Amino acid sequence: MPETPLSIGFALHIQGLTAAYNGCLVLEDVSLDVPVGQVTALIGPNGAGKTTLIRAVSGTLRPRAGRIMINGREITNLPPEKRACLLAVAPQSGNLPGEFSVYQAVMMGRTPYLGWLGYPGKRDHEKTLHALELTETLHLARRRVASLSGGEQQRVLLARALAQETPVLLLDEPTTYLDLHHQVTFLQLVHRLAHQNNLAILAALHDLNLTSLYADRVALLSNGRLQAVGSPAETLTPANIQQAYRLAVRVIHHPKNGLPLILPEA
Amino acid sequence: MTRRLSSIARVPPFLLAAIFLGLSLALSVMVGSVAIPAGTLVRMLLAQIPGLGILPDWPTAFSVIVFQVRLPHALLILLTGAALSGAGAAYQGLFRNPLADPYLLGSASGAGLGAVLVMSLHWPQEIFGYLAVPLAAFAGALAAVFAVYHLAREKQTVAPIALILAGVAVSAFASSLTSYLMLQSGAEIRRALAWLLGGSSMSGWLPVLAALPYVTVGLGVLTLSGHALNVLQSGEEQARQMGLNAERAKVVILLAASFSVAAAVAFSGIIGFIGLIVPHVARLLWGPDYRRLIPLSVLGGAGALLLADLLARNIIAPQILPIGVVTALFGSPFFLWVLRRSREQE
Repeated sequence: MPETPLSIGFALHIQGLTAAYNGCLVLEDVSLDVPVGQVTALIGPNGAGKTTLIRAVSGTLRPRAGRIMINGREITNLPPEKRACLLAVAPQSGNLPGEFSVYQAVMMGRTPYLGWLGYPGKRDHEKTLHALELTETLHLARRRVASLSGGEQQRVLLARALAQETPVLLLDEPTTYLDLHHQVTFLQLVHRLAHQNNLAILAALHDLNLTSLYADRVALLSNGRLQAVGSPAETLTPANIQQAYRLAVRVIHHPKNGLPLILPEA
Repeated sequence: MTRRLSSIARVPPFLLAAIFLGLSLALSVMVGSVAIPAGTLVRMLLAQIPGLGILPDWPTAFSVIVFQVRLPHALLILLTGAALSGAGAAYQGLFRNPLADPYLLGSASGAGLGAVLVMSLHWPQEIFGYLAVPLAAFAGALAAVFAVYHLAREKQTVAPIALILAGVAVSAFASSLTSYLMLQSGAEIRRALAWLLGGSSMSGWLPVLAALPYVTVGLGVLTLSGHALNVLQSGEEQARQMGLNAERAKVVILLAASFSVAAAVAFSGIIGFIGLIVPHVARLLWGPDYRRLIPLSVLGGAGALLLADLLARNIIAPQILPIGVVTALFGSPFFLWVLRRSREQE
């Protein structure tokens, strides 16, 4: 893919993004780079604009201003079928149609390559199987989506996004409905995928401690503005958290790897 | 029940649906005040092919009964059932609502209003009827569906029950306007009443030939839209993120479904529930994939409406029951069952 100076090292480049809901400004002048081969976490309190940012970047909400580029190519005005070749979204679980089989659901990620009739070719079957393998859901392929647990559904949504074969992946609070075990295994999987498959992943996350453990970079949104961005140690400081969440916190360090962990000041 | 369903489901779907349709069509032509034996019917059909040298050994009345009366009637019913059932499957997928049906959504009543409006203009039926009536029905069906959708919409979502309630309201409104128009127009429009109840007073080959292009276009587009409907099951936002031009897909499917309904209503009147029952049975038997579900609903709906028509013509013979009465008789309990099921799943 041709690289321009703007895009070196970054698959996704967000510049001056401003977005509004019902005339109310929700995102203001947000600029953020999402590097290749890393997980960038998007954190912030409720209403800070995380979901809005995901929606604006994925094209379901039209931004009021700003540019969104992938590998140096402006995608703001691309039609859905072209945009879906560059950027895939894994939404929250519980949003999958239950009657389809897992295989059928993941195959729908191939939509940008299938054309209107939707009959898959050999390559589409290969990519679907590969996505199932990567997410360790191949054994579920014949199951009905409705019969899966929340953790399994989240993996299937991730597989569907991977089947789209895009350089950039957006995850919208993927661990919200999962228990701790599934949160951790899911984020380990996401981390591994970014590093091994050279994906640029932007994940909106709620849990600050899991963010610290599994994100390479952290972007902190507050009141629709980007308050801080950097490594977990740089971003997850008491001052930053206190300002964004309006809560006094204490930051300690993980005994094993020294990463910051956030405790509320009880 | 489940075991029996799964043993039926093992027969190739299109073969099973085609056999069902073929048998229904044959029965529909054979059964009536004068019974035509199967062997005779086969020979009568073969005799149409020149060069086979089959000599007629059947009463001459048989030819009139089969080729002038029953066959065109059956084919019109076939097209109607196919159109209503294919449109029902598409509406159910488009609104992600198991209760959607051309009748319950109000699009059939809207089409009826459009058709009667044009009829009441006293245009010469023979010239404009076959052109203007279906087009007016199309406009009416579209208007009704748009009204229902926007009345039922709350923020971004449309609750299944809200959609049906809005459908009932719009349907009642359109029906009352239709009744008013018919009473205003006097004697000439009376035969429209029988038509509107699904009595299909039209006969002969002309309505079949007139309905054929409309139904073919509408159902053709729907059959090709199966993948778009599959992707839309994840919701519009996800569909767009997966690369489907969701707005365009919705408009194309809505237009094609309403076009099919308009053709069915313009030539056969308002017949409820067939578009609800058949796609459901097809989905239970063969799964949710709309690339198969639409054509299978089309075949199944054609066969099912032929059977309903068979009952309607023979159950109180020599009198004829409106076909809509028969479909409602089976359809209403089915509707209640689907309603219960969909609420349990919520």
